Amino acid sequence: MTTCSGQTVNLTISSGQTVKSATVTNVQRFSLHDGGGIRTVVFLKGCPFRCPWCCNPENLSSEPEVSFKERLCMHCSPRPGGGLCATPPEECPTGAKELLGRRRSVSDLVEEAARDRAFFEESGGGVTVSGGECLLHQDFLRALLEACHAEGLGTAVETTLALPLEDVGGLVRACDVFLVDFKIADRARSLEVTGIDPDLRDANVRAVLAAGGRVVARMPIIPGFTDDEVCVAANVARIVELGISRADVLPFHQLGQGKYDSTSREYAMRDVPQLTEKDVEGVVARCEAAGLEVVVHGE
Amino acid sequence: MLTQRTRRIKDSLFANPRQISLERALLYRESYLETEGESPVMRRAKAFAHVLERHQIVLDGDDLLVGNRTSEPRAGVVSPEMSPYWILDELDEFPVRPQDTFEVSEEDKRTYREVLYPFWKGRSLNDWYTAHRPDEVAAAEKDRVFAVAQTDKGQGHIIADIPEVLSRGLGDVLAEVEALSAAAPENDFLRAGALCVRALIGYVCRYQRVAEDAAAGREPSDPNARAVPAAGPERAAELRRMAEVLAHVATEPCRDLYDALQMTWLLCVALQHESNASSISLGRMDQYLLPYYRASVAAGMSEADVRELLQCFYLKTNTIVFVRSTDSARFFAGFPTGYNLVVGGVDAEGNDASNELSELLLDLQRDTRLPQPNLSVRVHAGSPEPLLHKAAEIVRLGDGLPQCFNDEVNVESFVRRGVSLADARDYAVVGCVELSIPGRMYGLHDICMFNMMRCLELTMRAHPEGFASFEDLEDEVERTIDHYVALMVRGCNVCDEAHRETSPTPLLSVLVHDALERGADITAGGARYNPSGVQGVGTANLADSLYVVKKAVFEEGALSWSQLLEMLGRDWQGEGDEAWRQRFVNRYAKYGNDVDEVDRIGRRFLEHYGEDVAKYENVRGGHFQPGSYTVSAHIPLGAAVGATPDGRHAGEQLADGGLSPMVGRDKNGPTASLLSVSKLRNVLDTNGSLLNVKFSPSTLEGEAGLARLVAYLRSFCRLGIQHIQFNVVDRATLLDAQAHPERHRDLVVRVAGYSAMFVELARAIQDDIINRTEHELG
Repeated sequence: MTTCSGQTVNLTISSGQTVKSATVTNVQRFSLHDGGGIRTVVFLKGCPFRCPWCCNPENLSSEPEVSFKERLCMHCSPRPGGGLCATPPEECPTGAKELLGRRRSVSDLVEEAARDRAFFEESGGGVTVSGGECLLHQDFLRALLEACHAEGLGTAVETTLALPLEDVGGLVRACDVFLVDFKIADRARSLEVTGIDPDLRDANVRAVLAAGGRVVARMPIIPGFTDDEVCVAANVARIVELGISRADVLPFHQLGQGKYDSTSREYAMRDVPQLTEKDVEGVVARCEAAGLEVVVHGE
Repeated sequence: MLTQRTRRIKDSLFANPRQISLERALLYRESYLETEGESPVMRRAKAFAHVLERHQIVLDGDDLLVGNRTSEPRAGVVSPEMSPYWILDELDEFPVRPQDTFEVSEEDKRTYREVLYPFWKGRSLNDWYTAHRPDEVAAAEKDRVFAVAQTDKGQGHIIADIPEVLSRGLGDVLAEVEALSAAAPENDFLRAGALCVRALIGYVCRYQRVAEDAAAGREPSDPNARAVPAAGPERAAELRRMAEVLAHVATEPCRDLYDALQMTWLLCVALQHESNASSISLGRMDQYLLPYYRASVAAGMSEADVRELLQCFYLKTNTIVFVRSTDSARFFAGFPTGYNLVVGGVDAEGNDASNELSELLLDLQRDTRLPQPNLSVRVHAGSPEPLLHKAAEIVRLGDGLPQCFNDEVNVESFVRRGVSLADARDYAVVGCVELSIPGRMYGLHDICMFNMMRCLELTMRAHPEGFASFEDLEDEVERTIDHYVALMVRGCNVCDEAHRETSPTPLLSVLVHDALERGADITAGGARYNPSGVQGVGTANLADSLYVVKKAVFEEGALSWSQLLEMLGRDWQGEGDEAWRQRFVNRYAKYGNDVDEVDRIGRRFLEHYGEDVAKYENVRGGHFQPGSYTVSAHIPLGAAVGATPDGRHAGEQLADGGLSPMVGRDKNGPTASLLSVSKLRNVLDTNGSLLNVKFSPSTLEGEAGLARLVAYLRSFCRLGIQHIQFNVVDRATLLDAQAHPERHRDLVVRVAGYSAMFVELARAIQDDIINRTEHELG
């Protein structure tokens, strides 16, 4: 169970439990910017952090939830007071109402991912586990990645890497590449705004690298949060200092906006314009000047 | 980039509205008036020769190649000898019909009504067909399950042995035909063949003389020629060179690229004068042009000159369009003339055959940006990376070219039908996606489309009492398919005979093995391989519909059979029907999403259809073979089908392509849709099948985007799918082109198996292209 209150992040992870299932929001095939090649991304539900620009808000809560897309609704049953109808999501004819989050087992997910084996092999792709914060489910995550490896599928995780790691060696063995976020560089501000502790992340990055893991830095460039020179410079310096050689620069986009509406969440960044590749040229130049290999949008 | 010269030529193609041309029809009639009582093959040969002697030939401004079917480019040549009826019915419609419009002058309308129509009425190919068609077939055609094609036009869909003409020269070919004819003087086909080759040589010489006149600054001495005399010494030199090339290729083997391209194009034009048919295609051009290309390069021809000459050739393939009836134009919208040009693939031993021309011929599309030639690349496990990379680059331009064919399944498919391994490895493509063996096969590749969805509908309506089990329903649908297949093949065979009896093609036959050896026109079984290709359409909708019935009616009992029939009968217009329809669309898995249970239904029926048709023989000693493509026919075929359990409304289109998922129903992305298609028994569809995939341009951006597309193509190859083609245009551009056609006169898009100018397509087809699922990055 995850709860957030103010700056404090309280985690109650079901400890000692070797559940080989987790709540999965979505399995997205043909993903192209999440670890190289053609990939299948498994989105695990639940995140202890709260980035105001989050583009997957449906993965914040660990619990299954109902999303509702007004434009698809055909008003087949009464909606008292303009709210939601009583029709359960699994019976909604149009799919306007959907249940997000289902328990999926490792074997079930691996079977689905392995279907795209030909595409993975030809493109150098594989499976990427994302979230939410997939480290909330470390037992499951390791088991899933190991099962993928056993099937000969490449693996990656997208993570803040800002939670305590339970078994670094195991994780590194099962994961081909860690895509690690570098967001707000200033520790105090990061803790205040997102709840992420950059120092913990850095310690984890060192541990992963020390265990022989491969890390790619990901720098979301978010107006008002991570796009100022000081932040960019600090992140670049940190990435270089940690010994990471590649950074993906991810310009702010609005693709997640609809999901805030369909899951009835407030969205603070609604009116902020998207950034273009041109807008992040300065960031790219700075990264390159520091000797980093840069991929805009990630690959 | 186009040169100044080729830019001008390209612009001239679209400068004026397309006209209907009666020139060929009038010359044909003149000849037929003189040949009453002779055999059809001699009459056809003489009429062909008359056209070649008398039609207006044109030597325009600064073109480097000659060969025009009509005096103005892209004119519609009508063939009343095939069927005078639809033309009469549609004379006033040509300028205003929804698809493929043409201008017709009042004088031409009068000539048609008073001269051409009365002459051909009662004696055309179509008359032979309708007179011999069994009543049951005619009745079955009214059930709209199938409609036999090519009952009012040339058969086409073939590739002549172009390389042999290039390497031997017409003189040598003529000598062979004359010798055979002398040895068998009673054989009219051989006499006709010799006459046609002589006429072709004379035709080449006509162009030569016009070029000589123009080089000398004279008006043409040929009374039926139009030419622009040389304005200066530079053009005069070009014209002298052209005249020299023409004088040489009239009888002699080609020496270099110039000879080869000029001869190939004149052959294309002559074959159109003979057949006036869709899809007399080019074959494996990177293979047969290679020695000539290398000779030219060795002789010092510059890269720029090679490119310009090839541009001239590519532009020529856009000067010929094929006029169809209004009904046919709904099925084949936007002039798929079918100058299909294949590169890549394996050689006779199975090794990669690609060469330096393969990439160059693909790269030319960057310059011309037109729908023809219809570029195709053959892909196999050993295809070199640079060729696939080049193909991906050209796909990314967004013109829908090249389409990709998979040797790993297509070669085996031919071998299973009795084609020798070496011949199978030499396959090429005619028209859109139909697979053929160049110079050795007369395959009636586009003789009929078969509407499997209509079979489902007829089955359901015939059984208001319902079925004891889902399996009983499936079996009954198969019986309906069998019933109509038996009638379809009879209709196709009558059409086959009609071509033999009224419309032999002796020139084409001379250029297809083994017609000379057998002494028989290809319409009379002269070709080495003689299949008839019939397309099973509706796999996706059938799988989706039957899956809904299986689950909702037979497993869940969510509604009764009669409730379902009632809803379908009233096209979902009753109280509460829309909720059911939405449920059927959204809550049941669909073909194209890699869901085995649904995909297996699609496999079962396409396989059943394929095995059923292959049991039947045609009248040339060959067998029927299945294909699965729709071209643009998923729109009219959908119009023939009422509401169906997959949530389709009555008359709504079927899934596009042939094997593509239903529009908007593939939600799991382009890997899942490929996997669904891979579960079909693709090796059965020897006649060719078609899969459309649409990518948003952003998906293919940058070097990483190209690498992705190459990987996707390699996966396609591994998965044993026959064909794939891509539309890479964003929705906004297409919507803008609909709203402002004047701003997008250049926009080329993929329709199905061929590309067309977007603004020349009817609204329904434009909408269809816009709606096909656009796969965006995740």
